[in-house]
Amino acid sequence: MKTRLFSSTIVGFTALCLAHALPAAVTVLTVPFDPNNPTTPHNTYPVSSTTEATIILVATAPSAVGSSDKFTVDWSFGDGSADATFALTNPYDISTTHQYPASASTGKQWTAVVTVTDTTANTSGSANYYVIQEPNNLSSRVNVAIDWGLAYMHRTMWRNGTNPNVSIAGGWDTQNYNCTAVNGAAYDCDYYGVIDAENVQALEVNGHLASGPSTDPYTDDVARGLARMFVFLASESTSTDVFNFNPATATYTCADGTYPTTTAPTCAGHGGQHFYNPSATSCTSPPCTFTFDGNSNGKMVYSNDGSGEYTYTTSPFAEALISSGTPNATAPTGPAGIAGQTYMNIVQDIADFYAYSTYGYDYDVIEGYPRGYNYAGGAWLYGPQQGDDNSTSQWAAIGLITANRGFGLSIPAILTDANNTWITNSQTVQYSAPTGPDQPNTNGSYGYRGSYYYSQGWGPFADTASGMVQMALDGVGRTTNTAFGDGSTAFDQRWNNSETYFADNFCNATSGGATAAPRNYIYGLYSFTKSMLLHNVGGVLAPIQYLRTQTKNVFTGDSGVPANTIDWYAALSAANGGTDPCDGVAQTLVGYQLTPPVGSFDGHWYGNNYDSEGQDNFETAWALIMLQKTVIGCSVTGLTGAGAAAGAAPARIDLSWSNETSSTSYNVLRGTTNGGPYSLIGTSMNTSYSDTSGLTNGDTYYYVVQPVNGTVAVCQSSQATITVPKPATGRH
Amino acid sequence: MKYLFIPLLALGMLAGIGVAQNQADKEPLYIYLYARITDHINIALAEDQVRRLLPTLEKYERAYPQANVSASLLFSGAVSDAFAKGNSQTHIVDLIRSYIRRGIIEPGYDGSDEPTYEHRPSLEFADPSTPEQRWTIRHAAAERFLTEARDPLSGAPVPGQSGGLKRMQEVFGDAVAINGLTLYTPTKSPYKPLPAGYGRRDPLAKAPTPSPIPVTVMQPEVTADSETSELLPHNTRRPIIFGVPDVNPYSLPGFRGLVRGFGKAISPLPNTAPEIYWQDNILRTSEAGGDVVRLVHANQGVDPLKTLIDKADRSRIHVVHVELVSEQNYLQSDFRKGSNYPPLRYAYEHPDNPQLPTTALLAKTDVDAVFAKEEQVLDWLTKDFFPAETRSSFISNRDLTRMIDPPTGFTVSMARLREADSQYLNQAGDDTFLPPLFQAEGHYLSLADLFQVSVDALASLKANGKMPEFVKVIKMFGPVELYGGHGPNEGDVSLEAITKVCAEIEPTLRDSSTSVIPKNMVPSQEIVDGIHVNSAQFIRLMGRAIVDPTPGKKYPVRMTYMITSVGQLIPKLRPGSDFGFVWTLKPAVFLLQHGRPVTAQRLSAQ
Repeated sequence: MKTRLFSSTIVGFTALCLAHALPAAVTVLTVPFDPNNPTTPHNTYPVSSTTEATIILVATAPSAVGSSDKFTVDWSFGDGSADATFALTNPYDISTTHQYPASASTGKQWTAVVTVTDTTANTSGSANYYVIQEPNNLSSRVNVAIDWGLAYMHRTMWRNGTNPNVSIAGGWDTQNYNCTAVNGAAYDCDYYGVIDAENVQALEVNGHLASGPSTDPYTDDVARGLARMFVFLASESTSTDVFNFNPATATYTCADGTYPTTTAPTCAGHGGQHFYNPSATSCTSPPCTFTFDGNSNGKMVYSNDGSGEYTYTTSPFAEALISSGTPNATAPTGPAGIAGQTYMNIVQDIADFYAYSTYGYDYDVIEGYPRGYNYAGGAWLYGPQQGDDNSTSQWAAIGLITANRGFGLSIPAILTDANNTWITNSQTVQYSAPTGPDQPNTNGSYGYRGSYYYSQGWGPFADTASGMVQMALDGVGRTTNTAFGDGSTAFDQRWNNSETYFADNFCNATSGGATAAPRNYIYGLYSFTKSMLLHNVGGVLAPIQYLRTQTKNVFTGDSGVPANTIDWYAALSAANGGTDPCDGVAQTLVGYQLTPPVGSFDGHWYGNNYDSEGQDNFETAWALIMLQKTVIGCSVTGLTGAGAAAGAAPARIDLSWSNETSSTSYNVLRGTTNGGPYSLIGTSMNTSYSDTSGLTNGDTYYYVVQPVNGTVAVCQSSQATITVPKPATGRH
Repeated sequence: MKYLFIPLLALGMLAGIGVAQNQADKEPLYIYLYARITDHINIALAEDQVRRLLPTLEKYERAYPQANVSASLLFSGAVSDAFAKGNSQTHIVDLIRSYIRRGIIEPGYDGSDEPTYEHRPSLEFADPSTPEQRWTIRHAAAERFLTEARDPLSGAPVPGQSGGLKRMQEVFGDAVAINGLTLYTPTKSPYKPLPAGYGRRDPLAKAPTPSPIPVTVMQPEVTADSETSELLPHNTRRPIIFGVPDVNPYSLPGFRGLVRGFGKAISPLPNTAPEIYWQDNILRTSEAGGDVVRLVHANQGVDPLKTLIDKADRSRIHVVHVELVSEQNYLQSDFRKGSNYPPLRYAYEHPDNPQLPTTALLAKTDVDAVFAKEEQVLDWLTKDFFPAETRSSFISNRDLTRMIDPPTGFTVSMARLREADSQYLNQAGDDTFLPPLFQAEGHYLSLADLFQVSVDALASLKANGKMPEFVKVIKMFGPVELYGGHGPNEGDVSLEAITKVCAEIEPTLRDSSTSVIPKNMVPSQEIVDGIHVNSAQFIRLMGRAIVDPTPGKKYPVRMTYMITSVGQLIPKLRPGSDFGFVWTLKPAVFLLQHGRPVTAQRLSAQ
């Protein structure tokens, strides 16, 4: 979703007329809820019958920057309450907070007006800020949380001068500049430069782009952040990567379902080898030498942000560039090889870096390594070709996936083939007891440098999710299993087992900490969110709404979802008005923001990671990206439709949706069960589609739309549920 | 913090869970002095370490009796043997023993440098192998390691002579502190061990080209040592074993975060310390714990210690290890940073001329300067820090043992156990992980303890028709195999089925007779009403049965992993199924006297 989680309330334009008509000697800008529709109101909601949510109203006075005049700020909230008046101290932050009346009915709208007066020059300017009362539900809570989070980023950013397109214009990295403290801290700032990319991406996926309207204060923030982040990229000449194994024969387990051991490396006595990827032809006669240079410029690009974790930190730069939606824009700053390059070229060079960095050796049971041990080939470590770990590899995977889906760049087959070997060999397979009926228990979990059985660093939850992101890269996804009600169980259960492992633990109490609770480990939860959104089977994008498990009775008490599943994003526990066994990602994040473990409520997220392993500073950006339920700023919103019963003409359902600027066409998919699976029923070159195929009067259908960039689906819309009406009948 | 009423124990002390409400702001910070005397090749140097340290300690002990000066001297078996052989001329053993008798030092054992690093009893596991096979292999290797004499340069066993811990104790008496019990597994790797942080220094540095035939490297089994610790002397006072090391022993991912997280998790109360905990019913003292506590090298001078103390979280007790008379004090900087370090590595790699070359050694004046720096640490502690913080002091192994609530031998009332079970079941909800810590009757119970007292209570219900009023905590081992899975999540089992299983296993749990694989070990799984459940699931079921022992009652089987967050956090390296020791982890609670931890004081050896 590029735009926010809109309520269904229709917003009128009369509010626009309320703007004061004062001399515009002072420029005042307010943050729009939707930059493309600036009069769309921000949300507020009643927390209880007597208490309204506290919202933040963000505005800037850019013309006051550098002025020695004195200014005052006045916020009139439009609800009859007293104005908030204060002296302007920071032209980039004249925000205030407010609680509208809890008694206001749903749909009630207010127009707040912020007026900045230059008391020295006796001039002033003002702007409107639109607010609407929504019900207290997940949508409104998320929208308010996003407002607070974006505001926090805006308020902490350090800035220099008024030209946003220079390398020192602004950012959140603290190598040379100090962020602006909010309540004494700046939890979303970090020494390493990748923080700029992460925060830029968070703003972008929430609809605020460098190419956005100049009236949006966040447009300036994104432009500054982009100009800053290029400083932390470096360019090198391409070089070769040698792969010393054939993925087709290295990616296997035993045909009887056991795993190969060093004493039976080719599964003698266990039915022989079962190959997961037997038709891979990318390196049939190793060693195979590759030079990855997708744009033939002889360059590759990587993060040189001071962290020394090159493969960890490069991908966010690509994601930020892809989320800009402007592949032909050029970098205004950066070192040689970066400045002046198009975003498309930089992303391709980053993809080249990841391709070059893949570990090209595979040591498996045949060489005497137990299954799940380190140095099974096809993944990434901190730097190029140094080995593999499942934490950094998900960043490589996400960089390649988004380059492919966002900018339509191709991924060389050797990368997915080789990585398919790693995800097979680093998945936990060792456990078989107790021999109860509900296995596979931890089969499917991933560890840090190998399987979780051998490598327990940081607990299983980030690494298992990382393994799932890599599976999304390789097109390894859900398969049939009788535990799901399928007629048979497919041999390949790699994704199903990982998903089950995550699902079984999903509702663990967050008081358990990052090693015991996936929802208390934001780094892992971010990986998990990516894997759900980018899940695909054989290259066909199939985002997952309902996380499912093979274990029985895990998710009980909610009759509104498919059996043994939970809506990983939107689930609500009874404490938050739902019937699910626990809160999903969205409500969990809303809760962390309202009661942060570190600091007080002011919009930031911090402290829900593995004991401060350098991840907390990125939490605000990751939370904002997760709340938007997207990865790279792709969205199709407003999917809606209406059905017409069959009569003289066949039954039909007419669909429409919003435009996704980077798409060349749209796939339309339909399912007959809530949450899918969906099947492709057609393609549209515009934002509407009429479905007339095989519809039955009175039946309900579930639709999603996927924008397509080139040949690949980029993302998927939320589901629309539409019922074909029954034909009108006469009186009996 | 929830405060609990607790019973008075012997000597009028309190096992003070959470009673330290009115203490001064800062909890005591104890300094644990120790020295490692482990170079059996450069024996004159080892002797000099001792001869410098002992009078220094005595000087401070006499000048500052209230500081409780005491240090642990950890000897390898090879050094003990070398000292003993030269004693008729040097009288070094006599000297050491006289200081032990006077309580100024305590003898300990350090196996880290026993000959040799590459040739010592190692763990050769087949793939696949069973957990029982691996336990047996570890037990055998440990037994050899602790008792066998080995050639000082080749590491080859020397028949008919004793070595290791056995030799050390023959020379110096019972070891009261032990370090370096680590066993090693020969492991395949494409590379020789890469330096820590490899890959983070040069953006485009490839790894060295891997060997087509993997090389063998020795991989340590970090912290897990149930098989070895069972072989230690069963004296009335068991030795303390060093716990979490200061230096990442094998590039363990996330090591520093694990140290922090484990330290915090294992010190839930003001009168607990991140560095002190129980494992396998043996007290462990870590070199590193919590956010800032690390091993302090006295040869660095006083500033690092001051900084550490300034930054330490003083809401908890701390036990800070300070190493004295390190062999580094004698060595040139280049040698210390080079590939030949430590000196025994040089010796093992130069068997024809194993003594350190003179070029590796500092001049005597420089050595004296380093030792003078060490004295500054003792000076500052005794003259400034301890007088300013009168509850802090040096601490000995004997003090630690005396000041900490014992791990077993106490009783828990059924009423309190039932109440605690109820609380923990509520806390666990439908989680797949059990809560990390469990407390009842003023004591912490490890998972193994909880399993044992629950079995006792329900076996009694089966036998007598009622549960006892009290259950006693006895020594238990963690399961030989820690299943990775959470077990089934469906089905109900009856009270009668649960008590039947308890009655069946209870006698075995009480069997502490000697055996390679102990009998008093938590089983890995049980079969209840035909359902296979792991022992964490069984703890859950027993908890429900204890809370509501209604005849005919059925209890739901819930998925539960056998590892808790505390077990996840302790730095460790082994195959995951061999982590049964985590079932014995629990906080070590410092006893309270008048609401404050019992003070440390030097006691002469018996």
